[in-house]
Amino acid sequence: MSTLTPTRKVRTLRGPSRILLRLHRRILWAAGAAAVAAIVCMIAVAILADRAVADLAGTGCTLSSLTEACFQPARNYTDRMLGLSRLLGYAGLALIALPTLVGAFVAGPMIAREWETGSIKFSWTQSAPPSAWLTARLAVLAVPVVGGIVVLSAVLTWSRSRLAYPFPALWEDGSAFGATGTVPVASALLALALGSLAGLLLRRTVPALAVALLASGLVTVVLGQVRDHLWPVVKATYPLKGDYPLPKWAYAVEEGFLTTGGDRLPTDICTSPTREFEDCLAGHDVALNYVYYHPASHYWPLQLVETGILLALAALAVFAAFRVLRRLHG
Amino acid sequence: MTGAAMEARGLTMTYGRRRGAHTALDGCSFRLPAGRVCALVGPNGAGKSTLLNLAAGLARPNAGSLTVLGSADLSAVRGRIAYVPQDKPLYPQLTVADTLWSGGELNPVRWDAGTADRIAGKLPRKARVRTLSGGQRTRLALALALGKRPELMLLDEPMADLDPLARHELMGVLMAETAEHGTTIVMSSHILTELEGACDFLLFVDGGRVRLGGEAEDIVSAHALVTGRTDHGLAPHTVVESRTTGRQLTALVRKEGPVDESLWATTEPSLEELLLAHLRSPDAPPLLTPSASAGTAGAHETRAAVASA
Amino acid sequence: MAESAAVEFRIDRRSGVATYLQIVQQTKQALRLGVLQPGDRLPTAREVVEATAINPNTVLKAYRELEREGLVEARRGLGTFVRRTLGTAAGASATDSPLRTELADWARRARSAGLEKDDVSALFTAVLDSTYKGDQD
Repeated sequence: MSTLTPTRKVRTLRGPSRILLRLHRRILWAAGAAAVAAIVCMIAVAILADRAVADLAGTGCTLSSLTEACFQPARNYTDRMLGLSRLLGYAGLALIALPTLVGAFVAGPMIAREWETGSIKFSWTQSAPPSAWLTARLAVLAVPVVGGIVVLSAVLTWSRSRLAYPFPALWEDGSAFGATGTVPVASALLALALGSLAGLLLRRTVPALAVALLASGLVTVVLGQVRDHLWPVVKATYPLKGDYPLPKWAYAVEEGFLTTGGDRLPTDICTSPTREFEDCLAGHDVALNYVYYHPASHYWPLQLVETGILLALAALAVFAAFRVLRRLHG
Repeated sequence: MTGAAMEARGLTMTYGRRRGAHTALDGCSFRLPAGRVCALVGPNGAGKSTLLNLAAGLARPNAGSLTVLGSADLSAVRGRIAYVPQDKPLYPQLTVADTLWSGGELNPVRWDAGTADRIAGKLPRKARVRTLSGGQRTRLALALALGKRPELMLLDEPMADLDPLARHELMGVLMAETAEHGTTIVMSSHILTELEGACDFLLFVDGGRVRLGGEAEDIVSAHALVTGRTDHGLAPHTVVESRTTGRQLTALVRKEGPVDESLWATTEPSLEELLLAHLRSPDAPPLLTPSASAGTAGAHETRAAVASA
Repeated sequence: MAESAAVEFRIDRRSGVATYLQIVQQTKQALRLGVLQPGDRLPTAREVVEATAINPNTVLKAYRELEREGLVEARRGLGTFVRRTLGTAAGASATDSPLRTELADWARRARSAGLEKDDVSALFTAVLDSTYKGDQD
């Protein structure tokens, strides 16, 4: 490897990259504007949440006040917080869906469409090689997408932290976990890679777009399903009439009864809350309650394992995309 | 001057698989010396576009080998070739100005912006490519191709969309390019008259193979149109096509030695007559002159340097 | 480019005359008419092909032919220049030259003798052929 290699690589990437940006200038500007709008909205939510807290404090009431005069202010406060927390929930879901949309865009308009217009024959017969053409589509797009997602996710995390009781930001929320931490960036990279692979394999705009959408959507859904099992849970038991042992911000994955033999039984094994309930439990030889949970400290291990899986899949998809590229040109 | 711009040996290209497979090239072999202006002619579906696509490095042959500008690794010579496919593909959403700019961006080392701009001529710079007429697109595609300062130009039906004036002008530009820089030009067409006069080399492709290949002059002078009495034999000449009317026999023959002019009225056929006769006679044996035969060094390269004239 | 060329060529694809011969003939005609004079530069191959869209080798072939006949010479890096003129340029082309005057007289006499234009032309060609028999071109 001579010292010249990197500068030459940069030079061959420069042209395809600048053309890519020019080709999709409008949609990139539109996406940027949408991101700015989303950031403004999330900041507005935080400000509104702060104001709701201040308004309630101004009335001298708290949520636990029992006086009738405090009934309406407390109710106003909970209504406002509920609305705001819903908004942030939607923002989280949008952020989770964003990488999938980016991947679909890469697959369809950015890659497959070049076969439909025939411009691939132009793109691939210039001094800049097809590999530079593909690298531009992966790397050049990765920069603004990753940057945008980092910012959006950071603003969302901050905004969520402004929500106060009774709607605290729960880290394990479906609309939160995948929208915060390192997962959104990794899932954006995977979506980019899957998008380019789908585009190169199908080479027709609409099918490529649909398959890319489906593939990265599927990964998101499946990971959401198996997420709880990506890091060992903390197992706790407590007496049948004892206190629930979950620490604050911990998240219960599974709970139920434990027999003297050590078998786990579901919580609904005995349903009737009467005297027979205890007989029923005794009949099943139940000795203890158990609960498996992730404490808040598992947030980062869970994030990092999921990120690792996403990045490994992304690397595989990129490798496959370059293999397909080599097969497609001479 | 003595190198080969293109050399193909046993080139075979099949599209599709098993049933419905279409063989576009079938053991195609030829050699194109550098600096020539080559007419790549043949009926529709003869394999012309496939051949150009392969030479441009956009596909890999199923069998056989293809060397372009002395390199078997076509990705290594991508920057020295300009390819203008039949449908003149460009980015439809870019403007003319942006398209010209993109040529420079994609070919930073050799790009000649002045030439590209001159050939783009009066094209409205702010118009989007998708709004251009076929002829305007061709002009823009040729501007990009020439701006690349290529050593080999592969032009697929370049003149099809052009009006006569633009056709004459752009053909003149291409000829000036080869006169000045010795650029090798391959132009495909299924209409020979479009290219006659401009081309000095001929590759006549039919059924996936080269049936006639070589200097246009040599190919013409290797044949004769003869008219005489049916009872005179034409041996030892190869009869490409013959027609009898009463006692008169008219034939296009490939000469093996001089034709006996006491028995036969002899004229030189035009290139077009020659091609038509071969199209009507699919069994006529192929003819490749020494300079067009793959594997020979192009025996007699007597051309003077064009650029010095 | 030092100066522009003195002539330009017109190529007729349908004439049936080989393209390079058209260039040779047009150059000779220009020499006879005095349009081209010794020292004049012929257009470069590039100039000719840009204007006519013919193959550069055709131009080179024509110029080689003219060079072989001693009418022009190629000067390396400068171009192709006229060496000598053809016929007596002034004598042949000027409207008041003696040869032309005599020929005009002759044509008038032929006409008054009742000959059609085609007959005159055939007669002229026949005489021309027998006179120049054995010469080249």
